[in-house]
Amino acid sequence: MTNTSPAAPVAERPLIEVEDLRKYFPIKKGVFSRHVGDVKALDGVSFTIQPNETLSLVGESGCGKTTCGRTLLRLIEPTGGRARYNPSGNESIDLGALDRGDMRRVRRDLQIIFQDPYSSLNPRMTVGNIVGEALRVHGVCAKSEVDDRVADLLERVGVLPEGRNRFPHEFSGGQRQRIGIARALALSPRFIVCDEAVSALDVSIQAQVINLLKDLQREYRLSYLFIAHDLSVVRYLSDRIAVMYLGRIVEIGRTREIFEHPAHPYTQALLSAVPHADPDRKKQRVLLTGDVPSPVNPPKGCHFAPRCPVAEKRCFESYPQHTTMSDTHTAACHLLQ
Amino acid sequence: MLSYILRRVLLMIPTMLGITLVVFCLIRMAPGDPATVMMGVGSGGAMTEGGTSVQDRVDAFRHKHALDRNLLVQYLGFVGPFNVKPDGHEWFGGSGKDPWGGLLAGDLGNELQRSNVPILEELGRRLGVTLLISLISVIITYLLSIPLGVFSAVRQGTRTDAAVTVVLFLLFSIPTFWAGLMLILAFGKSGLGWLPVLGLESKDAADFGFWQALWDRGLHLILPVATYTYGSFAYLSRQMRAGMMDVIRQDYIRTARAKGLSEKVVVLKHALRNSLIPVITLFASVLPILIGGSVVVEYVFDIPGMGRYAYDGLVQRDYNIIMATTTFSAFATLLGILMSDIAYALVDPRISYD
Repeated sequence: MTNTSPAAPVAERPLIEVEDLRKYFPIKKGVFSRHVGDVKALDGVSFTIQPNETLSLVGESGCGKTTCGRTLLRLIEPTGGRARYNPSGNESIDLGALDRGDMRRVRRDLQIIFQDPYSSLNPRMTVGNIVGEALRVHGVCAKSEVDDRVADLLERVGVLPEGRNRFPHEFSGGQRQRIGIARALALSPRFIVCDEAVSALDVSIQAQVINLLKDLQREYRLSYLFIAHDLSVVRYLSDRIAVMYLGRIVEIGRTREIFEHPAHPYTQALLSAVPHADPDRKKQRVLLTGDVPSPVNPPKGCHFAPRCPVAEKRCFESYPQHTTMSDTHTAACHLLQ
Repeated sequence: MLSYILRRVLLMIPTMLGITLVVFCLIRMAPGDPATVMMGVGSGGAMTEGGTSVQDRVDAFRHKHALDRNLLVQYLGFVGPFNVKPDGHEWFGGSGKDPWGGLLAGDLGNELQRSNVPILEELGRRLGVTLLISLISVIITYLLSIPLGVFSAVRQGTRTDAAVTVVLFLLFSIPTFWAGLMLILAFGKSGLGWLPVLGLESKDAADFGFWQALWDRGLHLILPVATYTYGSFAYLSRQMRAGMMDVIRQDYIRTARAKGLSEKVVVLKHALRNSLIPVITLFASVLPILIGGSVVVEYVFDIPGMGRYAYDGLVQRDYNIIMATTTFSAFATLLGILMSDIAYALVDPRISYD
């Protein structure tokens, strides 16, 4: 069977393939900006995302989630590794190899919603311009239709279309985040990175925005990389979950697998920290001591070993390989081997 | 917005009164007065001359210019609308020949030494000279420093940026008078002999045709304008760089990139427009300099402008000149502040004054 035959099944081809993605931020010191080390924000991350799928990236602050999303979209230039975008069954684009112009064209398909709805909208542009600018630049529709399209988009996300002549500061946080979503949707993307898209909102608004994201996914067959630290949101929204610790993925699996059979001690600790509504429920919290080690000089062995409640000697000596739990579930821990 | 502007303009009145009062008191507290400076009292000159003693003439001069009245009356004479001199309003013991005067009557008086020169006219002449130099200089400053600031912000951290920074700090640290003298030494007769160094036109300028006069004027302007420009250029470039770097870190710049806009649009449309806001406030400090001129530059290059006028007035203790020039620059300062506040609202939709 040849892969190029039109009858070949295409569904199994992931939309996004990330392989060994790395981002090191150099640390420079002194008058001559001597290179004294690297912050290894992203240290060899690999995952795939299928069409119409949501992969969540969870982990503590500073573990590299945001860097991962931005490096994937080349808003930050990666230090190493590869990110591929497969628009169709027989077309595959290596994002890292694109020149600036080609990358700009691919951005129509790959969008991002930023965390902070306050600072991510240009304060000197009207909402209509913010949402419509990309339409005009990419020539998605005729200039005369831009206004109508903007009005449609705003209506779709639940902002009154009349708002397009107003400025971002005239809207509330939740509305601004909706405007950010409308902006990301403007180019009809296939894939959206939601970088803590609901973290800055209060809980009731969070629910509305999350439901909006879910509706949009169904409607437009979107794929999401959902970056978050709120596990209850993640559980509701995602098909699969990747747990990050200090620049690496320590466990990845289907949402049910992660929540019901967490394999990695770090995932277990993370899940035990989720508060439950039932006061009688017995808590078995895995309390972590100590701080996340510095990503400048990560420990030689397993990065989590210094805080791990069950660490053994070998954990301090080498970094563990991923162990396969099921077809879809792997975790990087020595104790699973 | 209109009522806001009106309110601000009305507020300028008490502010101006306060400023002029302080200046008025300060110069009267300074040792010496126009009469003694003019007659050379205290410089060891002859005590009698032509039959009348110098003291008599000093007294006569003071009486003529109402300098013997008490300070409050004198200040009223400055503000107006009454003329408090001997030929002034009857209320102040004058003859009533010329009852009105002072600022409110649009009269800044005559110079005390050259008593036939109305200050308002002289001010107009001087303003023309100063404005010519400072306008050219301000335009050049903005034209150079905005692109340079953007350039070094975009290249932040590179060697080019570091080199630009060092050069700008050097420029900024050079005192104006020294720079002016060095330019004269280098380009004047004593050096390369390329450019005229004194005044605004050649001695025989009266015989020149239009184009020749223009060329002559241009040559005379090069060195003063250069001296005038380099410092503010260095300062403004740094301001622009800082403002630009502030903006370029913002999330909405990342949003713009994520939209797939070209780097040119991101920098020039999204970043530059936002970073111009702080540079606009600097205009408030530019306007007074624009009008007030630079004492140092005008002195070094012997240019009869506003700065030179203020300096001469101060040396001669000519109260009328001092009051006129300070009032003028104070007004320019207040106007500059008001204009930059209005400009703020125009460029930043988040600011409204209602």
